[in-house]
Amino acid sequence: MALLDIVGLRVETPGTDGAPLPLVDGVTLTLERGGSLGLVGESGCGKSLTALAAIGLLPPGLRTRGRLALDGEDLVEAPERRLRQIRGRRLAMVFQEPMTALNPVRTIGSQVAEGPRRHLGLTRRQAREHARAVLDRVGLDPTRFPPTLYPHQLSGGQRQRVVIAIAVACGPEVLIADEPTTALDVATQARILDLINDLVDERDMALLMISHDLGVIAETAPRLSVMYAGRVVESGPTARVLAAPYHPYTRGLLGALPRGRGRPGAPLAAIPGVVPAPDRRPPGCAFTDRCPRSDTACRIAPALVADAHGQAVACHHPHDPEDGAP
Amino acid sequence: MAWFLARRAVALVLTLWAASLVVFVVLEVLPGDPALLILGVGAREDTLAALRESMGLDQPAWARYLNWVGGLLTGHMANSLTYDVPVPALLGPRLAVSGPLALLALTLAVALALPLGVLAAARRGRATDVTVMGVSQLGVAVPNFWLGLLLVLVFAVGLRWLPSGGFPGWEAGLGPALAALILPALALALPQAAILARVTRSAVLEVLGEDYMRTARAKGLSHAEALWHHGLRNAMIPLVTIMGLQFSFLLAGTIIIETVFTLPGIGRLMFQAIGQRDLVVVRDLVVLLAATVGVVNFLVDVSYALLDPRLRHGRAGVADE
Repeated sequence: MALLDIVGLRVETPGTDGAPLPLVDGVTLTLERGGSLGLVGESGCGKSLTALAAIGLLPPGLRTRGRLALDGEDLVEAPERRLRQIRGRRLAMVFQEPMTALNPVRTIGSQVAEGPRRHLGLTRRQAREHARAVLDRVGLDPTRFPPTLYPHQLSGGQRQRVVIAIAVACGPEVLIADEPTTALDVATQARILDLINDLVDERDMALLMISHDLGVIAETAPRLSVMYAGRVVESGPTARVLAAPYHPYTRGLLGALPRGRGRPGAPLAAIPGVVPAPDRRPPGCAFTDRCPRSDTACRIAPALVADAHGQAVACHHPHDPEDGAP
Repeated sequence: MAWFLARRAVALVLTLWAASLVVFVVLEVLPGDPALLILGVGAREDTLAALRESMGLDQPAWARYLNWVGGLLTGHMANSLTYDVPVPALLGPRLAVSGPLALLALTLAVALALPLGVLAAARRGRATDVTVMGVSQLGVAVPNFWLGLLLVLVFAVGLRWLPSGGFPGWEAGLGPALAALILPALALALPQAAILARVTRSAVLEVLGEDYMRTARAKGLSHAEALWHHGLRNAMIPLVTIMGLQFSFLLAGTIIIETVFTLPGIGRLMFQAIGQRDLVVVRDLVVLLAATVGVVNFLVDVSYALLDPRLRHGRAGVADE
């Protein structure tokens, strides 16, 4: 049984005409114990909402439907009381913005100690010691970065280490990292990714890595799912998907990566158009309007179909593996 | 922290100095001869001159300014023109009325406003929120003297629960003295509480949308726990500013409210001194009120530093990642 099992997940907002409008529309993801999964897509494709739905912290007004289970236990209908026992203890999250994710008026030590004190039944003193050890583990040596520091005394990368310490402090089974490196400079990004990878290996956590950056996914997750306009359009082993994507959108994403071989000053490749707003999605395949291969068949939504290697695509006109990398 | 406090203390001293200069200059350019006021228009010229000399009015302005400020600093202030007693002797018993009145009003305002504001924010858009906001809108619009009269009509004239005005003095016992202060304190507090409740609501709403609240929830805290452990202290930072500002309005309000309730306090003394052109009392009182406001602002700055560590130490990071 999968550790985190998401089947046909929908996140709905009440539409203007009363009919619920799906922001996330039938997403299916499975995360095995100790496994890693990447979730990639442009801003607004619903990847963060998927993560927030999984941990039960959607903004007010949004509702979750479909199946969402941790180790077989349903989380959609679970009472808030039960979810509070799971959040931070078994399911933890690293957020995107280290500058705002920490409380500016509390010390980093107290913010890390809060979870363990609550979930692990530690005394105040034990929780403080535990927080010190966790901060040390994420690279904040207590002799240089005592737990009595406040967030504003740290750099962005150091703050993100604190956010990671908060997430892993209770030894969760699932770690959801929502764009954990997006707000950081490139050199820091690499070190934070290494830290997350090391922690995941060492503690046997399952990782759901969310990013718009295929490079980040390639470094952290052996499997990935590509989301577009609230749906998964392609998924499979990361190496296969990146080497020979089936979906025109995945190809577009790969083609949009800036590479060293480009002539300086040459325009960057981009997918024409923008992700349609949830109330403007065309019927059928949502990528139709931006897709070079679309035709009338695309008015009917394609199902996600897997090949023999576990690479699945939702497209009526997938690329041939022989097309090679874009 | 020490550096921060030192800077604030210097600013406080400079403000008071500026206030004393402004008061002195304004009263200096106002027409009117205190000697003539005391002796009346029929007084003989040599009597007037003698009185001017005894009051020091014949000295140049700078000397009189230094004398006055020196007196303020050492407590040897001049005599009131109308009562002919030193100003400190006038102030003492009146401070014993106005001080407790202002404290009571402030306490009532905060005790009402903070819970209501937090409640309204937590129940945003629901009936509780709409009710609290509606009532507070009314409270903001109502002038405090009118509210004072209304309170007298209901609780003193109608229900006969509390006295309509006057002050029995603290020697009459704590009960009667406090009873005399409740209605005026309410009249002062309710409009302030209305404003403070609205500010509290918006401060809490702002905090509720912060990322660190989501981080707290992701640790397994409930809404209420996240608000209590992470939200309130952040929300207090704008609130303390407003409370400091409100204290000045409270002082101004006592002038009217003490007159409405015939309380022998500082506000009423100020009102009478202006009416009687008792300029000695007026200028000392203005400096006293300025000093009170200055000290309150100083306390506000200190509480900022206590609430927000970013003000306590510089921004410099320990090391770069």
